[in-house]
Amino acid sequence: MITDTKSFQIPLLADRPLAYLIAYVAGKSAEMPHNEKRKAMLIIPGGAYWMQSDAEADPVAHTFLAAGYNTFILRYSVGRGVDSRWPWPLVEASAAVKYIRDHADELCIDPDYVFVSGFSAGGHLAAALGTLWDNDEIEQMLGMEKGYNRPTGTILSYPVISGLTYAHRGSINNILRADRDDEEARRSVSLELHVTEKTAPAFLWATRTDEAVPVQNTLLYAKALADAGVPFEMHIYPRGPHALSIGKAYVGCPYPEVAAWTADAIRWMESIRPNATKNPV
Amino acid sequence: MFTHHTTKVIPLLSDKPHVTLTAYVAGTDRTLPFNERRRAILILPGGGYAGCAPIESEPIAHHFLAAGFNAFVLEYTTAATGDPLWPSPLVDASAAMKYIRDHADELHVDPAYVFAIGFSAGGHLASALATLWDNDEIEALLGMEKGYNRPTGVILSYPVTSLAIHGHTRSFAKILGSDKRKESQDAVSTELQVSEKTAPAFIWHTRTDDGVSVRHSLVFARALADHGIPFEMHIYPEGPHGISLNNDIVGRSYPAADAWAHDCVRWMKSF
Repeated sequence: MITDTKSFQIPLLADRPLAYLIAYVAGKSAEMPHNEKRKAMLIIPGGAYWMQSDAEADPVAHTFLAAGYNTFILRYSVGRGVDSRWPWPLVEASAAVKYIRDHADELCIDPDYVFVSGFSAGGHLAAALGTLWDNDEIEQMLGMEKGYNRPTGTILSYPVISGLTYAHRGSINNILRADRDDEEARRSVSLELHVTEKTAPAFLWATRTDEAVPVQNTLLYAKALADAGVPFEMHIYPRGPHALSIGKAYVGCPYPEVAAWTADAIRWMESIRPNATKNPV
Repeated sequence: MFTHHTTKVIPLLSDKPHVTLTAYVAGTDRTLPFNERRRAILILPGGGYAGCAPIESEPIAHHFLAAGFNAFVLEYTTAATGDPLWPSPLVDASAAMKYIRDHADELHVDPAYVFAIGFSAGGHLASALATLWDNDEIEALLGMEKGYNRPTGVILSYPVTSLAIHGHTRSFAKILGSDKRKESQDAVSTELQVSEKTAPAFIWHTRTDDGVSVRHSLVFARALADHGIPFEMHIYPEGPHGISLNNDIVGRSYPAADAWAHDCVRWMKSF
């Protein structure tokens, strides 16, 4: 009997139909006990909080599925006429992490190992989960205990981080809307200002020549992690435009050195241990 | 008939016999045309400006020799006796760059491609070559035209850069001696000296470096990014200070942190 990967679509919030997960769960087989309980990866494609990339969805999911993870692509509420104001993206991403942990048995994953990988604006959302997970309103809204939405680790690919000097204005404007010029609102989503010792460990990478999201976003987050003593690994490649995804030729990346990041991230994740409890101290 | 690489110890400055360049030059033969003219790399070992560490000297030269570079290890002025050491190490490194370029034919080197690599305090010196090469006094002292000491690119290995960051005040105490003035400190904090003239850089560090904080590398990279200077950077997740090649020869093994030695070759070959 052949055991295949299951893929299915999961709605996340009753009143927000644009937020759902595409789940890829490796088939179980007596030959592959690893598949009984894999680690999980939530993938958040980018798109400036306006649209969502495809190159940062399936290619990423397939890469980490092949590396032994069950993978979950988050599709979230963005676009014309859609209410994407902060903190709705963080609510939806938190609901995704909660769903994965709640259904760990059915999804064949270990709830202690839920990594979140985000690209560009999706990197902002992943890093927001890493830094701003501790939120009483979101816990109440989702009926969730504190820490339940905290990622085991975050993997940030050319992330949007800051709403200040080095901001990718489009992404920040799309989550702040009417508050886009309010200094305090911009600071509230500038994640380099919110790193503490409780921030999730991070693997981050970008290209120096990113023409869309200044590389200083990645450097600022790394500096904040270094100052707070949070474990991290970082790679800045010397050449390449924005949005290189997994760095392979078939997603349009002409610089072969960039593809090294996925193997490095896989090695890095193997070294990351979860907190002793689901509620980190 | 065998062709061997030659190793030669060359004194650089008549009044400083302790300052030497050890040259590793690949042997030439008509069947190895590549060796007629290689790219060069000047190696600046660490040692807290108190000495030059062997773990960052010959093993590094061998690695780059094997990768197709002719390699030159500089023993520079160290261990001040209370007088400011600076700018002697920068003079020594500039004299080394000048020697390599002056003798390019004899050393089988392309003078247009002379890189510098520094470790720890040697990384500070390499970052100083990258940012402070444009110096009238040094040019006059060495009888050299402007730019002649500018490296094509620098590789900074767990470098000291900034006096503002706690994490290696011992090195700076040596180089500035009793001079505690802020402008002197700022003048040797290389993240403050980055400009549009700064040479491109490849930077690497381990996050858990207990000797020189990873923040030295992060602030330098931020300055490079702000000035649009090309760079590549890798921060590995784990490892103490001074891991050099992170292999059997130097007796170190930390996750991923041997990749730098191959990535920087790819980076240098892209120039």
